[in-house]
Amino acid sequence: MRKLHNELIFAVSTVLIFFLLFVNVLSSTDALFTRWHAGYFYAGTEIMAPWGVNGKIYTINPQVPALTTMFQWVTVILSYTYGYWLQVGYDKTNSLFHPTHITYYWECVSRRGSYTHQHFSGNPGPVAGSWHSYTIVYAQSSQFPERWILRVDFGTPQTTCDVFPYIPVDLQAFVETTDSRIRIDGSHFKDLSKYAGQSWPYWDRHIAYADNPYSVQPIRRADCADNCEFTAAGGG
Amino acid sequence: MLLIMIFSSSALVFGIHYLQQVNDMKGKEEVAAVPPLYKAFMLQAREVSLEELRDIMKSHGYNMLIPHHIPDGIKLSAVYYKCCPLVVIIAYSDRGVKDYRFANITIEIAPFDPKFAPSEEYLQRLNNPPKDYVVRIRDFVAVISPEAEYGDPEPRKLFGPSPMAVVWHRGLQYIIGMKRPLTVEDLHSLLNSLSPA
Repeated sequence: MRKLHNELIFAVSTVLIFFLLFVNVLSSTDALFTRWHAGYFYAGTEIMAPWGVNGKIYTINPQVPALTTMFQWVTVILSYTYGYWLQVGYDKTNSLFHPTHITYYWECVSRRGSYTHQHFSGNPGPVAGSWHSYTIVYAQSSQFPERWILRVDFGTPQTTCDVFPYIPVDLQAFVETTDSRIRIDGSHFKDLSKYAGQSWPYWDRHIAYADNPYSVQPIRRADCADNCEFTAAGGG
Repeated sequence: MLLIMIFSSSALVFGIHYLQQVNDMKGKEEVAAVPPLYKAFMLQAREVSLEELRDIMKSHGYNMLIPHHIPDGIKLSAVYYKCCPLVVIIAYSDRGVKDYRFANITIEIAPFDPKFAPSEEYLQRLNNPPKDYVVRIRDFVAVISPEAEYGDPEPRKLFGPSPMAVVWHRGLQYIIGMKRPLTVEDLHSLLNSLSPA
């Protein structure tokens, strides 16, 4: 009887260990790849993608569970098949290396390397409740044709990136989380615009997209219909 | 005794998980943001035939190049077109896979403003063998990267580095990707066979 009892405990413990290992592998993979998004895909009227994107983003300060992040950003896509992009925005991260805080960040991902989640050094980041303008624009430098400029507000902070391939294929503006428990209520993007050579007209078409449990509410205006402003909410 | 073993094993497993999370974050401080790519494209794209695509591209004023030699056993599996902005993805597969992320060969085509076309001087600077090198084939130039990494972390982990070529020709940029076991020699053969559709 005692032998049976020991064998039963041994079997249960073995199953438990394998289960925990399995969960461990799955959760590690999820932490890397699973994302939730809420925002706008650009859908213009022109054949060629614009050479820049700009948008004003309201800063929110949600509760962020340990080892998770909320991002709010504008992006220029450089390749759908290889997954190359330029991005600037702000995030709130609850990481092992930093206390929970809000910072500006940028990403340049291309054949030239994956410069992901780079913080602007020496910048304190946005304050909750404030609006900031985020811009990605082609530098138009004949000497450095791969160069793009990524900036917040009027260039403080600002960085440049050399990417390859350097031709834009699309634009996006999104709230992103690594955990659907993060509540993104209060997220607000406005004045989404595209670079048109010498001017920045508002987006003239869009496709709203949100992963469950998030939602996107387009805001209708006289100057851009519902194409250049939205709020996002949900989560938890 | 067994209970101690169970608890210590559980603690070990959670410890490993914690260290993996730490390791994932090292060097990049935090997890990177990743824009929705596949969803973004497929929400807006529609599947068309190659003939239909050729006519659409001609209506936009583009004389598109397509390969006339594909490695043995691989066939055209899907052609996706989205507008606007215009992006085309052509997928070739040995198993009829229509999901371009898992196709053996993909060709991504996008138009660009000719005033931002790569200059001769720029192309010379890109010539950095064996990492990247520039080849001229008839009336176009290709930059070949034998070991190009995906930017999207999921395919990067799944497929690793693979041969890629970027071609600019008459207002269109072509990003041609091949998954292993296809080789850079296969990529050269495909590039040599590019001609108007």
